[in-house]
Amino acid sequence: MESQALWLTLRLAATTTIILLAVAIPLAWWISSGRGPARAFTQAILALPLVLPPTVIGFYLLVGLGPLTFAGRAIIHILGHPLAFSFAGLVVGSVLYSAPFAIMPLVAGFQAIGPEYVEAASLLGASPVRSFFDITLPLAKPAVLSAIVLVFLHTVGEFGVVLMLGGNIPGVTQTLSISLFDQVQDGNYTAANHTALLLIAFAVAGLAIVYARRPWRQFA
Amino acid sequence: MPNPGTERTTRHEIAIRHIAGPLDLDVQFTLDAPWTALFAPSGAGKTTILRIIAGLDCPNSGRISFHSNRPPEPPRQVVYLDTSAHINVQPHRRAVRLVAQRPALFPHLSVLKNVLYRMPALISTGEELHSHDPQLESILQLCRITHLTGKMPSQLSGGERQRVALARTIASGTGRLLMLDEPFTGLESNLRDDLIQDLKAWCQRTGTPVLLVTHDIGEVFAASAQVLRMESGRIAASGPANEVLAEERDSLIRRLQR
Amino acid sequence: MTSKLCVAFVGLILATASCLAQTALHVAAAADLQPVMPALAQEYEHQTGVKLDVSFGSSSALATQILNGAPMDVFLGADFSFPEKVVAANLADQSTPTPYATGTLVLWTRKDSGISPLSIDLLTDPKITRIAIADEFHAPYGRAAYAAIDALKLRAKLKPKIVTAENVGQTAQFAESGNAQVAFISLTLASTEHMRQIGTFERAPKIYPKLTQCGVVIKSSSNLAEAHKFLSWLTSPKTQSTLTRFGLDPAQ
Repeated sequence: MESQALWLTLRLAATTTIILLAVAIPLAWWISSGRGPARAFTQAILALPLVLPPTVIGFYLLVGLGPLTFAGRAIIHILGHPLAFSFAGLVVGSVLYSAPFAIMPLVAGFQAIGPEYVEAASLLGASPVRSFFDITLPLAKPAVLSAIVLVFLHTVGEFGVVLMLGGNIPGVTQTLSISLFDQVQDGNYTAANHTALLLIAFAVAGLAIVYARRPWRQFA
Repeated sequence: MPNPGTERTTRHEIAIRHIAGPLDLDVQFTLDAPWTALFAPSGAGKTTILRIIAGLDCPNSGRISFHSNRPPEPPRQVVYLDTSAHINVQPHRRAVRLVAQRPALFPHLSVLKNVLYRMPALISTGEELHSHDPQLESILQLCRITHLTGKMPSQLSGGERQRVALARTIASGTGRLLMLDEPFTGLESNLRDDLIQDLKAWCQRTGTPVLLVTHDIGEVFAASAQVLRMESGRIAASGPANEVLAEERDSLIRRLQR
Repeated sequence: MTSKLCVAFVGLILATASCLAQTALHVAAAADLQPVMPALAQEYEHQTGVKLDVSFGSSSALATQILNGAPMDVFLGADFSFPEKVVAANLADQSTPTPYATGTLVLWTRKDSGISPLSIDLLTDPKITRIAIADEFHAPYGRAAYAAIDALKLRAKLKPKIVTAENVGQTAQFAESGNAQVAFISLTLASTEHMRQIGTFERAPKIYPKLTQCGVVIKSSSNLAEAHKFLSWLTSPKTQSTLTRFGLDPAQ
């Protein structure tokens, strides 16, 4: 039972991380490449999940994107089933919930690089896309790594969204944190301790990776 | 002076009007000599002009165009910037090259990789250029950095970095307008003079016009450039060095004779 | 000036706290009582002047919290076993849980779900893809639902369709939002005006163990007298006879 929850949690975290990075990197690049109200507004929206209770996100996915709404019916059309009670639904919830943890380190990382390198590259004939892959991304490696680890860990620890949306289906939506909740309610404190220690171990390992790296200004 | 109609000529026509903070620029000039020097004291806006020509900044109003006359082909014009017509070609699409004042060498690449970045031969074949490639070798020798290829930018001195930046820029394409923003500061004068002579020869061979921005008259004379003298954001005088800079040259000689 | 503000602030907090301590009872109530407690609390306050602060949750969650020291005065569960856990842990101020109502299990669906007539036999129909049931270990109504399904030997067939909610309130929400076509919920939840407006329900056949809802007074309460008074009021014949309007039958 617990290994199923563990495997599911890892799958959820990995899927969320991959999808979020693919979306957040171009978005962060756009945000960091200029100024203006559009960028400021986007940043504010993406930071919202930081202060929104996860249960709110879960609730809106459950009801706001449920079969009674137009958007929800579109989702059923695309996925073949509603968002709720499915792995796909958890992924959507996790992506929203962990978005700030991807966007913020990436924007900070890209901004810290300074415009002179990209300018130099463009003066050598590199298009903006080329200079992004050749110059910006390699120089932002520490920030990218931070984003990966933070998103992964944050998703491993997710509870509120899964509680609202999951339906507690073993192997599909019963993650480690839900498992823990159940174990506590059942008075099974031994198992609960095991699960909790497992979650803590993840957190510690991940943070060690992030903080043990040399500071990003290694090239200065 | 080249004989019009028989020689292949290229020229750049530049007109910039820009006000930003304390800067008030209103310049028009033509670059048709092999070496042109833009001469003005520090803070006069020379760097801004170069950045505008390169496309990194956009002026309040201006027009920058490139004209070529290579018979038997018909004359050609490429407009990089025309604010009134809303034309603004992005920097990477302009056939100009700029060596900035504080060169931004890519910190994660070795000196060799920096120089190789965007080298045309490399791009077209997609292969690693052998470091014994003759063109690459001649560029490394010209800039006197052959012994530095294995190092990382953080290990270089200021003067070395400037030479690497120069090598990187000329490696990325010849026959384009090469703009140098005070590139020889920090170089001792013997090295500087040799470098200028070799660079002159290189540019003549490859047909690369040069716009040199400097406040050092030694460099201007070493390059025997046409001079555009800037005062208060306007072109005050233009012509050969020994005419436009006669006063400075004389006072320099007087100082040296003391 | 700052120190005066601090004193005033602290005084305000203490005053508020003592206010609450004087006239309010903390009641932990099972999720099926969500539509019931507000009306009962209003009546009780009207009659006695004592306010009821109610927290809702699954019977299991509430029991666990009380076992771990949650400062409650009264625990109203949805069955016998969870209040009994509190008694067994020596945390109740009585020797056995007090029955206060009998619950009824119903099957509920939205009016626009197209599931009609609603009946437990219809659950195997492929039109029904998702059935919401409260967790059978944490919520008595969930346990009752599973008991009914087991009695009909349908568990294996229905298992792929079942989604589990934390408590019976969330179970209702799953069906209300349309994410599940049908839900096993309490009669109390199905009887609210809102739920009657948007959905229909059918009582489940009485093939599940009787849902005797019990309550206990918590020993550590700072209002033992008031707590016992409330429980007595709840189980008084007068109050018991009014329970049917909420969807509860008197405790027998």
